[in-house]
Amino acid sequence: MKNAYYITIEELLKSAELRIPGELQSGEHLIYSSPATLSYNSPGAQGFGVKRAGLVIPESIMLLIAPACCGRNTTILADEGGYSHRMFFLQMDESDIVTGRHLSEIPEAIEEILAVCETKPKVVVLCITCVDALLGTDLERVCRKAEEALDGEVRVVPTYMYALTREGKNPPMVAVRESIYSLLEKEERKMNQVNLLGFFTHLADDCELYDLLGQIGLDRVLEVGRCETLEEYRELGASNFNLILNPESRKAAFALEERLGMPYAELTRLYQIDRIRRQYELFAAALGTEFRLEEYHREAEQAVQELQKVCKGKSFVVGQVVNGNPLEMALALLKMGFEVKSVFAAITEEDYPYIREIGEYNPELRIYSTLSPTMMNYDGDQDVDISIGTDAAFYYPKSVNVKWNDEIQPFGYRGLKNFANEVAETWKRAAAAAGKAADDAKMNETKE
Amino acid sequence: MKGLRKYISPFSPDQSGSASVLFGYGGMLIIMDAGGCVGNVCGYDEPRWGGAKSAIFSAGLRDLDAILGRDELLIRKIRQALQDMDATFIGLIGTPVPATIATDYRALKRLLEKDTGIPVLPVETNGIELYDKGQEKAYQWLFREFLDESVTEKENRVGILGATPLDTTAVDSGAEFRRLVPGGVVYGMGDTLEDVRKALSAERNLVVSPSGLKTARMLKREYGIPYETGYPVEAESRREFMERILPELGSHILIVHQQIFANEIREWIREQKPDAKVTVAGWFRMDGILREEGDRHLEEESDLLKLVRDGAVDTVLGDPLLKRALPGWQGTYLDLPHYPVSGELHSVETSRDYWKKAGHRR
Repeated sequence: MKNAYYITIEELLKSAELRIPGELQSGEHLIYSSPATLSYNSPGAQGFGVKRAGLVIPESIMLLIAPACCGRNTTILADEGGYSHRMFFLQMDESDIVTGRHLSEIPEAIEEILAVCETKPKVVVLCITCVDALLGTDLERVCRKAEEALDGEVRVVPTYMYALTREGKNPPMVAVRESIYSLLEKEERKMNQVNLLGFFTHLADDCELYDLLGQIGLDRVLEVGRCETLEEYRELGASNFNLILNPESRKAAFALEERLGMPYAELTRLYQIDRIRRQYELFAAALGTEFRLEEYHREAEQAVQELQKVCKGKSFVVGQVVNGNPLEMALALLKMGFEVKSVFAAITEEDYPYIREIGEYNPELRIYSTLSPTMMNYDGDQDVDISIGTDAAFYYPKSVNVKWNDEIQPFGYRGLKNFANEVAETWKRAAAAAGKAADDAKMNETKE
Repeated sequence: MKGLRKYISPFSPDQSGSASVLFGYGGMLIIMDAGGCVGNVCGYDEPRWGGAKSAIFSAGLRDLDAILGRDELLIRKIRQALQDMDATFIGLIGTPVPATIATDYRALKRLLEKDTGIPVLPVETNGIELYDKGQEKAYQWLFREFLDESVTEKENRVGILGATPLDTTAVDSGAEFRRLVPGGVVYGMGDTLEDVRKALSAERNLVVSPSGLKTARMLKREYGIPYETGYPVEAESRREFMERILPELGSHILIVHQQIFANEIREWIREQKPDAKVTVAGWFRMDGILREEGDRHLEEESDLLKLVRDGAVDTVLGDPLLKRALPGWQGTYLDLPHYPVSGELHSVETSRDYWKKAGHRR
């Protein structure tokens, strides 16, 4: 029996073609299912999957048209997330798969649903799954037909929970981002307005990006996750340009450029302080202006210094279920002077710049894939002080864990500052608790 | 409308049921999906999963596999994974994708057994049917594959069929049954493949949910092992529960749960309230022999409201989530959680806790 598969950065960089090993590619092996993988192996298993993401459109409800199994987790997730009253299901049976009869019943199903909704929705999001992918269902046509049948009473939007296409050109979480913006129409351009694309919620309120954009006259920063009404959502159609903050929303931005003539720019979420500054400088230069960054830079720097002091000599591991790119976060921690022993990641070619740089700091750093069947045999042979990410906590249960996976999104200097503060505070609390436990143990010994 | 769910979400599907039967036997379980189904099976329908290292995998099917039917790729992946683990068998658990592309499970079984030398249990679930159907199929394969027909000597054993965390009150129900039934071997909850091999040494079988009936009847028909149905519960739990619900019960009581569990509670109620009319209904399998006049198998979500209104039901015992399917109904609703309905939302750690939680007014 083999141990859990990992590859060191050194080994990865040695391979002449810089090829990603098959063991790290989910299409090359069976996929191991563990609690560490629940957030991303199964689109929709936790957090924002296709179903919850589709409901980001304000005043919408969703009708999932699928075999019963596709909606099972919604029982739990929708209840916990408070959106169960917005989820409806049209369960397919075997004859539906053969005849496609269920598709012709959708307008009637929507009518029945509208009749029981306490607040009448303005948008119905239809979601289909793998079976319809195989049947070649034309959902856009189904949506058009439904809108016609309902005399335009509601807008009907297609979404696709096609797990089968996860490594394809249009994976589910990319496709759903495109769907979310599909109702935007061309409005008169407002030069002071910009859209942030990428997340289903919104940036943290204290993120400096709002202020920086305001500094250059973009004082209306819109995000779909902040829209409460369809009217507010429609205002996104008047923005000057889109700012992509998550690569999975690139396709949505391309579609908006093509359809509404709305240009886009892209910023990456980073935790390396020097790169954060550099990125903002380049962005501002491209717009022919400058940002006043100093205060934000200094704050973040101070937070990093405090983290370096509090966690001096501590070792880290970075998981995949985090608000950030785990390799970039590992690199940031290495640059701060910490030891990073392992990273859990599904690496892509876009990660190679980080990988090369990590090689300069710690060539022995291990990359694990939590989806590898060999993770069955993971034995936890490394001692690690601090784990970042929910999945990392699963593999390093004795470490002090910082989930860093809130739904409200961190970004930029304030993202780094808040991350550094949270790690430092969590470590201080854990150390205080451990100290108290040690004192208690000593006291008990004395008593005995 | 057929298939439309306006108030309640889908129940545990057949694939989850088959995984729950095979979960504890040390096999390599492969959910024949793209990744979504395995998340549902493990994360939402198998309460034992988080607490134990279990060999549950997704086949990781992609669109090209479905289009080209790349069985050899799947076999290579399985062979490769077997280098990293010991497996007593390989369980192939179907989902909508293989059902749609008509995967030939028998051929996969032959090829894989030839290739690996390990028994293969191809459970042809499709994600459309309900959990009990998947359980039934898994029991059938389990006994077909591992039952040792040469075992003739009887031991003081009672085989307990139909028990998984989906049919029972909690994950410790297997242990509870063993305490309450001398010689009890609970298939699927705390037994081993060796126990399945020795299934013919049982003096009788006890079926605690309808998913075990088909196998129990096969064991009776082919090997002469008698069976009975019933759901053993500790006397103290039963007493507390009945004390709680008795003052709440009206004249027409409806129990919605798996049939054998519901029948058991019906008997308890009848002992203390002989004049009450007690009906059992559910969306899961309702065996004809165990059904009384007036009992109903529900097909659609709206059937529940219709049954309650048409039958003048004044008290319902059912999973807390099912109450949503009774809009406007003013009767008494008493909680009787059922994992395939509400999953972990209303689950508990122990059977004892279940009976403390059950029977409260919603």
